[in-house]
Amino acid sequence: MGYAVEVRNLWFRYMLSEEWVLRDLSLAVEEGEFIVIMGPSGCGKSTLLYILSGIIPNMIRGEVKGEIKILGRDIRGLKPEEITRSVGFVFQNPDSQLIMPTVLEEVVMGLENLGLDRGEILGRAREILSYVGLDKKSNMPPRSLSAGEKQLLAIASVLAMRPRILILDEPTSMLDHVGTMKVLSLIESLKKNLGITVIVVEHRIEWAVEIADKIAIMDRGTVVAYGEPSKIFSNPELIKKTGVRPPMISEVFYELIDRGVKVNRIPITTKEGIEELRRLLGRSAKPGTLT
Amino acid sequence: MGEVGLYVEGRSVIHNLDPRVKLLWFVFVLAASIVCQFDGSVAVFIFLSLVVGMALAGLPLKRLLLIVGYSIVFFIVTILVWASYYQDVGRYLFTFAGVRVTDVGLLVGTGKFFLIINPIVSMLIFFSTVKPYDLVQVFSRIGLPYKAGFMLLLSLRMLSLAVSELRNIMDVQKARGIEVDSRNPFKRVANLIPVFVPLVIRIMGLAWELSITLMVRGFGYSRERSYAFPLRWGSRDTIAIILIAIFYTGIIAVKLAGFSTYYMIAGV
Ligand SMILES: Nc1ncnc2c1ncn2[C@@H]1O[C@H](COP(=O)(O)OP(=O)(O)OP(=O)(O)O)[C@@H](O)[C@H]1O
Ligand SMILES: [Mg+2]
Repeated sequence: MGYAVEVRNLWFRYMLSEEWVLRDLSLAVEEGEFIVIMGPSGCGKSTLLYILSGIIPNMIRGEVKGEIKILGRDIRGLKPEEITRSVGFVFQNPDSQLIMPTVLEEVVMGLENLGLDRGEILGRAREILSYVGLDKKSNMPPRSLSAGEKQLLAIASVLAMRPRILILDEPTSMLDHVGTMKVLSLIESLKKNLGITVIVVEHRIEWAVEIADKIAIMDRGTVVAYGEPSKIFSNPELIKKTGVRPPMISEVFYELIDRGVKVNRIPITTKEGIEELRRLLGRSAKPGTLT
Repeated sequence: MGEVGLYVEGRSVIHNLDPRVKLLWFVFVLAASIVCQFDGSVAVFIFLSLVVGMALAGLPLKRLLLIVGYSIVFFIVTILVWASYYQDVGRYLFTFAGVRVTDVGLLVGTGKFFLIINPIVSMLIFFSTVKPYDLVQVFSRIGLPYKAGFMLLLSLRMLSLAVSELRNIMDVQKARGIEVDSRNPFKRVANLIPVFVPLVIRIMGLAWELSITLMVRGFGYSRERSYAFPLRWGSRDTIAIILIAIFYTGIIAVKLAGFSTYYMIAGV
């Protein structure tokens, strides 16, 4: 499979700004991969996503240097509508991602803009609404939905346009716990069921290590660590420098290592943690005491 | 959170009419009101037809009363202005607020009043019974860019977001101990600053976010847009438009021929 996104030596600064917000950033995402981007506030995560989804330079201007390829094609050669067709974008605030008076009309809106025929529009809309579990609420106004459901609808409205890449910028940061869980499990299911490439900025590290194929950690405008979650968090020095909070269980093991305990590997999930602890305690603890 | 907008959900005859019929209805009302602007005794029939329209649409009477209520001052002013202009023309009826009101003054005053109020009520019927979704289509069907119709929809959305944003900000500032609803008018004005500054910032943010949403949904990329729920012109619409045309051209014709209800009754 080819690359969904290929970014090489990307530099970017906003118009009228002296400072480079992205500095020599490189990132390659294979088609079908699930990538979680993390990093401290202001490190340029949103800016990167804006570039990948065409919001920069279509809506905000700035100076871009470096190479950006979307699905193998140079982004500079793509028309805005070609980017929109292949890259979907979802952001924090569900309210400002919903415009139409009813749930069904919301999903239909993007498809109408694409100029699809009626049967196709309605077919896709029904399909996606039942996929996200909002089919029973088709005729309700979006304002009657919970915040989590609103975000599901925003995602559904983008998915209905069948992008090959879906980009989400902190999709759960304005939701309560229940809403967050709903949205996260929808995003997870996209990888399993639809096979589209997902790039998401999300701070919930415990969720990220479970679901992500790769995690990219950004700091001051560049990607400082990129790889499988277990690789990323097996390097305590690097993690501490970036200021990203590692999974709780990894933190425990960093501490154990500091105290001179010899471990085989640094676990990132609770399950791995229990296995590793069992192994460590193996000789002294009776089987069954730690399950 | 209330939605800003006039549309009232319903299944009435009026709701079911094609929006284009209602638009033409408005045009007829406007034309007839212009022709009758010097004769309230005929223009009142246009008004009555609109009252019937509202009743058929099942719109709350409150809306009509609201309009009439709000326009009472306007009504009195209009009458007085035109009555004083025509003080010496026609038959003297009574004196009001120092103005000699003649029959001509009264007819012109009411005619001018209906010239304004009839189109407003007609627009009200239009916006109360045409789904916002269809609004966009009406624009493109009558040859205007669909973007114009969409902007209408979007500004309503923007307004309702701004209203809920305003409420949030007021709550937050109240929680911080700023008396945003203080009884002291000076304090109140001073306290508007911590409300309006964040509001303006938020509104700019919302406008930005809404425009991202439009871009992400491919808005405006093709000149031709398709509709999942296209407007359908039915025989019902043809009948309605014929009735509307007969009624209002009737009024226009009769008026142009010199007819006046008042003169008929008064036998002048
Ligand atoms: N439109 C803009 N014009 C100028 N500078 C901007 C603009 N948007 C963002 N910046 C600056 O670019 C830098 C990176 O911002 P960005 O929003 O990409 O960070 P982020 O990693 O998404 O942060 P957060 O986690 O807070 O969302 C910040 O210093 C910010 O002030
Ligand atoms: Mg951001």
